[in-house]
Amino acid sequence: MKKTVSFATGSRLNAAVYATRPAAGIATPAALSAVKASRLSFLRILIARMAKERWRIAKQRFDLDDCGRGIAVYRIDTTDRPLHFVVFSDQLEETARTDRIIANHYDGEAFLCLGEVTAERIAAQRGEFADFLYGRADIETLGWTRVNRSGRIFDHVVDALASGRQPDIDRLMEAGYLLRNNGYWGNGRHGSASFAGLPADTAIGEPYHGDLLTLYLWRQFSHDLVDHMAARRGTTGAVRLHSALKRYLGVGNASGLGLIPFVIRHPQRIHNWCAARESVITRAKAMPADRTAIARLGTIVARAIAYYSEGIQVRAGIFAGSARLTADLERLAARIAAQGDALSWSTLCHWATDALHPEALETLHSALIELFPDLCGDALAAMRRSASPPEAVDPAQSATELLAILETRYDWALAIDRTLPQARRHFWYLSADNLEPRHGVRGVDPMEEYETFVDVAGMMQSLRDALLAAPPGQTLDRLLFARPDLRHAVARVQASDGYPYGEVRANIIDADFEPCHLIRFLLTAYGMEKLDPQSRLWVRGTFLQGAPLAEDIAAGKEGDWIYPWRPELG
Amino acid sequence: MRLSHEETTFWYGCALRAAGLPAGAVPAAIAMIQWAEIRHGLGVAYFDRRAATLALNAGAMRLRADNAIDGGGQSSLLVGPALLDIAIVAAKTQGRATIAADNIGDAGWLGQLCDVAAERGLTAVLSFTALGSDAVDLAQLYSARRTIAALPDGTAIEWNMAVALPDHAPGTQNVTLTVADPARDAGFAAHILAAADGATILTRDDVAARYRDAMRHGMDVDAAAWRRLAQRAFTVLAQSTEQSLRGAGA
Repeated sequence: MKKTVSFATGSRLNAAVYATRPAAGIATPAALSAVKASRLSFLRILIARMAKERWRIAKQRFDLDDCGRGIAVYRIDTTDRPLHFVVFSDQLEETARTDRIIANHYDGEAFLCLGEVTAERIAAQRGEFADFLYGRADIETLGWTRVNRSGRIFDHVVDALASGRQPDIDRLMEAGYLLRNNGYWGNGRHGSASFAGLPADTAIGEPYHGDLLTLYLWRQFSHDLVDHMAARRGTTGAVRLHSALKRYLGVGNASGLGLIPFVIRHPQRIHNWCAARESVITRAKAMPADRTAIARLGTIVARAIAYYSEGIQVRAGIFAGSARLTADLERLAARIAAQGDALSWSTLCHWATDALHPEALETLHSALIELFPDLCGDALAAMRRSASPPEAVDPAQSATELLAILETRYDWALAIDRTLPQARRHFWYLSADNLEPRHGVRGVDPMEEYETFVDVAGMMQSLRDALLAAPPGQTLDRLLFARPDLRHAVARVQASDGYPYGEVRANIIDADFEPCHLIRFLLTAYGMEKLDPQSRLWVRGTFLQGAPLAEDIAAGKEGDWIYPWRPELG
Repeated sequence: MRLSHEETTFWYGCALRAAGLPAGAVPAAIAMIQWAEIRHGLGVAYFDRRAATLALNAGAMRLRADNAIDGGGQSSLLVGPALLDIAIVAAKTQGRATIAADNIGDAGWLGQLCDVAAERGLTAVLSFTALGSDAVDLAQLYSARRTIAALPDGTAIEWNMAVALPDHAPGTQNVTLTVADPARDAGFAAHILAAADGATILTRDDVAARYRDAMRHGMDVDAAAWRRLAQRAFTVLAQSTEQSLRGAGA
C-alpha cells in the first residue's frame, strides 16, 4: 500500500534530511544536463491541472485566408477567469525563417491575456508587436510569444491533407512538430502582468504555467491551421489531420544562451527544483516493489527505448546521443526482467548508477517518480516557492564568520584555478538585438567592460581575498563601506544557507564550459523530453509530444502520455 | 506610460551600470529606486533629473568617525546602503545609533533605508537638508509628504524632513539616520515614534500592499523620462555585429 510521506515542515526544502545525493554530484552542468523530464516538470503539472479541472479551449474567431494569414482567437475557460490567446498568423518565405530571437518577422505572433478581448484591444496589441523592443502590453496581458512553421513538414502536411490523405508518419516523426516556438516574453516584459502580482488562486498562477500554456495553445493552433488550410486549398476530398497524429505532434522550441543567466541568477529556484526531485527519488527508492509497479516500470522503459530510437535523433557529442541512451535503456529493461519479483528500487538504482550512462540513470529516476505520484504533492508545493530572497545583507556578521561559510559552501568555486587563460576565456554580455545574451572572447571581442554577471566563481574568489585581508574582528559594514562591489557576493553567500543545490558548480566563463548542458536542464525542468544540440550554444527540441488534445482535456482525460509510441492510424 | 515592476529591474540595472556603479552594488541601488517609485511615484522622475550627474565612485567615500560619513560627493545610491549598514551594526550592539553623512551628491533615494531598517526589526528615522539643485528637486518631490510606517512590534519607518530627537538635527547638505533596536532600547524606539507624532502611519501590511499593488498594476511614469532612462541603459548593450553573432545562441 502506498504511503504518503510528509515532505518538508519548514519554508525551504531540507536537503540534509531528504536528499541522499550530495550537491557535488547533482549541481554540475553535466549532471544537471542528464536530468530527464518527469511528473515534476512544470508542463506535466500544467497538463494534469488542466485535465483535472477540465479546462475548455474553444476557437472564438478564425479569420484566416488560404495561406493561413489572419487572426485567430481562442478562449480558455478555467476554474477562474477566462483567458484568451490571440494569434496574428502570417506566412513567411522559407528563407526568411530563423530560429533566432532577433528576427523581425515570424509566421505567428500571439499574446495570452486575462479577461475579454475586443477588436480595439486586438488592434492595439498588433500595433505594439511591430516594435518588439519597446512595444507595450496591457496590464491584463500575460505574455507575448512567436512561432515559425516547420520547414520540414508543414507544407507536406497541408498538401497531404488537401489531397485527401494523411501525411507520411516517418516524416512527421523526424520533425515532431508543425510549429516551432521562438520564445515567450512575459512576467513584466513589455509591461505585461508580473507573475508575483497575480492572485494566488488564479488558474494561471503556478510557476511557468503562462509560458507553457502558450506552447499548448500553439500546438492546438497548429492542428487547426493545417486543417483549415487543407480545407481551403483542397477540393471536397480534403481530410483533417488524424487525431493520433495530432497527439503525437508537439510544438518545437529552440533555446540558446538566454537560459544560462537565468540559472545563475536564481540559485534558490534551482535548489528547490533539484531538491524536490531528489526528495521524491529518495522516498520512491524506499517504497516496496510490487508486481504491478515493476510491470509499469518495464512498460515505461520500453516506451522510452522506442521514443529515443524513433523520430528525432539526438546526436552524440555533448549529450549521450540516441544510440547510447537506447542501448543503456535496453540493458536496464533486461535487468528489470531478470530481477523479477526480487527487484528492489534501491538496488536497481545502485546498479544503474554504476553500470549506465547518467542519462539512462535519470530516465530510471524519472520513471520511479512516475510510479509514485502520491509522493509528489509536497514536492510540488515546495517548487512553487520560487521567489528569491531579498538582496539584503547582515552587516553585523564578522568577516571571519563569513569566510568560514564561504570556504565551506563555495569550496568548489575557490578551488578553480583562474590564472590559466582558458579559465577566463569568455565574458557574457547583452546585445541590443532584442536584449539577447551572448558571449565573447576576452581580449578579442568588444564590450568586455559591460560584462554581465555569470561568474559566480570569480565573484566568490574576490570576496575571499577581501575577507582574508580584513582586520581581525571586522564586521561586514566596514568591509562593504570600502568595497560596495562585494555587496551582492555577501548577500548571495549569506542567503545560501539551506540551498545546497542552488549553485551550479562550474566556471561559466571557462573555455570548456558547455552552455548546452544548462540549456537542456532548464528545458527539461519545463518538460521537454527529447533535445538535440544544434551547436554548443543552442538546443532544439519538442514539447508536448503525446499530450492530450483539447477534447481530452475537456473530458478530464490526462492520459498516460510520456514517451509516446509511434502513432497508429486506426 | 505604464511600466511593470519587473521590467524596471532590468532597465534600472543597465542604466546604473552605464553610470558606473559596480555590478555588485547594483541590486541594492535598484531596490532604492524602485522603493521611491512605489512609495512616492518618483523613482523614474528623480532618476531622470539626477542621471546626468550621478557620482558613483566608492573610493571617494570616507568614514570620518564611527558615526560620521563623508559621502565624497557620491550618490545616495552608493552612500545609502553603507550608511544603513553602519547604523544597523551600531544599533544592534548599543541599542541606538545616530549616523550623520554629509557631502552626498543626491539624497532622493534614501527613504528606502528606513523600510529596510524596519524589516530588520529596528525603528529608524531619517532627516536631511539639501542645497542647490538637489534641494529644489527634493522640495518638489517630498516637501508635502510626511510619512511614517509603524509595525506591530513597535518598530517604525520614518521619512520626515524635521524630527526633534537628540543629536538628530541635520546640518547643511547633511543626512542623519537614527536607528534604535527596540529589543535593546525600547524607550528610545518609543521616543522616535513619539517624535514623529502627526505623521501618516503605515503598517507593515500597508507597505507590503503597496508592493503587491505595484506588482499587479504596474506604475505610471512619464514616457519621455522613461525613454531617456532606457537610452542610457542601452549604452551597456552591444550593437550586433557579425563578430558578436558568433557568440550567440539560437
